[in-house]
Amino acid sequence: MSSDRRRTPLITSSDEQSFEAIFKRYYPLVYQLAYRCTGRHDEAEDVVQEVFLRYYRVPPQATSDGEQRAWLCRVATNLSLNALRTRQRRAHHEEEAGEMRQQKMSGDAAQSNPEQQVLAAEQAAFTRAILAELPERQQTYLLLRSVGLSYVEIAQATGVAPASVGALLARAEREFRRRYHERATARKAE
Amino acid sequence: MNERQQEKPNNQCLDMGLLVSLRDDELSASELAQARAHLATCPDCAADERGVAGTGRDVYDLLAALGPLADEIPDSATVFAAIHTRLDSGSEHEEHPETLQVVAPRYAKSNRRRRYGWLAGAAAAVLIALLLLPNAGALAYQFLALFSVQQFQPVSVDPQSFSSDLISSLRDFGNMQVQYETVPASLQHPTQAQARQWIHFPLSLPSRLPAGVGQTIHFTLLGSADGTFTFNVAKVQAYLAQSGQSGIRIPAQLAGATFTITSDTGVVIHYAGNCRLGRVTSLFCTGGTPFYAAEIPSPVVQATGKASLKDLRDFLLSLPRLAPELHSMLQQLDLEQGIVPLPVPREVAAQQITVHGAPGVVLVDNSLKVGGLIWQEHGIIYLIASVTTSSMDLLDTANSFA
Repeated sequence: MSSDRRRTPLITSSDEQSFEAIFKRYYPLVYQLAYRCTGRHDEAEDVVQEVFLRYYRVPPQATSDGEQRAWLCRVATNLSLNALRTRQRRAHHEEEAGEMRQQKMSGDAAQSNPEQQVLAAEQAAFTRAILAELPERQQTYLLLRSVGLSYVEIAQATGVAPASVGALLARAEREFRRRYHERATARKAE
Repeated sequence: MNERQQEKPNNQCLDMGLLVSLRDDELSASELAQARAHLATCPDCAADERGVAGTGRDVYDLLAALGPLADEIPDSATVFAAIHTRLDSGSEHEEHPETLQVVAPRYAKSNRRRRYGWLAGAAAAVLIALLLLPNAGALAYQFLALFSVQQFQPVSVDPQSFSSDLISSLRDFGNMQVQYETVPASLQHPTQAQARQWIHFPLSLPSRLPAGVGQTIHFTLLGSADGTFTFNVAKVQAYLAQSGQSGIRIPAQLAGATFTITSDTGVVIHYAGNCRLGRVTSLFCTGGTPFYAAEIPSPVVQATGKASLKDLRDFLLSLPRLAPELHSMLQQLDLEQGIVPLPVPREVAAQQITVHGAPGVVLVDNSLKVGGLIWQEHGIIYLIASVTTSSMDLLDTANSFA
């Protein structure tokens, strides 16, 4: 941070209003993206906070709403994938140590409609596992598209040519679907 | 032909990328017209178009089902407040470096997390030690030995190598399964009344705090845990062979021996000038000298198989190549007196003291200017920590718990 910046209040009233407006506009999108990737509310909230803190501290050189949206989604995706990697590494280490953690379901949530909840949770975990198997670029394309980014925004977020997005999505979708069907068939056979 | 079209053998057909772009309504008007014209005359491409539409539905329906539902998204005002607090917290340090120098020369906030690292590490090590190095105050019950901490004996360790050795030993000697009870999200940071209701022991609070500690109190519940360690002879044999200790005999009763541990819900109490609660795990506190207290029921350990805890300890101590720090820890584990080794980083000074007549250990890191105190009373383990090197201050606070 520059010394000039340090001498002035970090949040001025006009900055704050503008920042708050950006936050309000994009918060649901960023949260949705982070949650869809990590599958955990606590991690999604951490990602959201980090995304907007970064936005505040080093705002992107965005000249349009689309660029701003693309920047936020790119940072959110990267942070979410990082969180996921860290968690997977941790899980791997624990497994190696012979330690298996099993989260007990508890509290009201588990009691409201346990069977339905368990099935939905299993399905979500299965989908996320398939998604996590894909190369990260493909995960990114699918996640960004799933939250409604346009091809131009996906291109801005990932640094590819807009004309390539269709082909990249096609490949990612095909790969996701192939793995999903393979795993689903294997699961049924068990 | 535009760049999205790939030439197929007949030089006419549309590639998948273009069909996906068509499905997503991402083609320009001219591209769209060209594509539509081709699809009208090409059954193969029309079939591909339907396939692409089906794939898209499948994939994005699955991804949409990942959530979150609209009502699962936390209130934006709360999250914004948390971000604001973090910005405020950052600005406080950056705006007033001189003030901070006077008030707390060595506690720049940016380093606070790292500075408290050893405390967290020590606390974790204590819990691991309590969980994995079971004591047997009631050794008379050879096969139903109940763990009850009577006293801590500090043992100097390198936290990194110690935890690494501990994990290796777990892997080498058996299997550990742990089930954690998740505290409901709505109760992770409860009110005092909720905390009192949730824990199964009387909550104690200090009436005296070290100077400068903030007066806002926040509670965080620690879920209960049940663990089972199963001694695995095959793994131990492999370990012994690999480490050149093949000649050592494994006592027959240890084969498949199980040791269970149950740890009940505990609570962490955080004092600060001001705290704002984010969702789930996010608690952001600023202002005042930080002060933490943890109150955790002593874990209960049972030797549930055919071997006693003494059998396990004796066997481990008989291994000449057991990691030295683990060896020291086990040596300090006094099954008769209920003395539990307390792993303490080498740079931390440890001194045994008495709190409310019960033995405890005060820990001070003079380089980081932080200190803590741990003691056991009525089956509850208490741990306090703050930015102070004054053993007397810590002891005074500990003695004021009621």
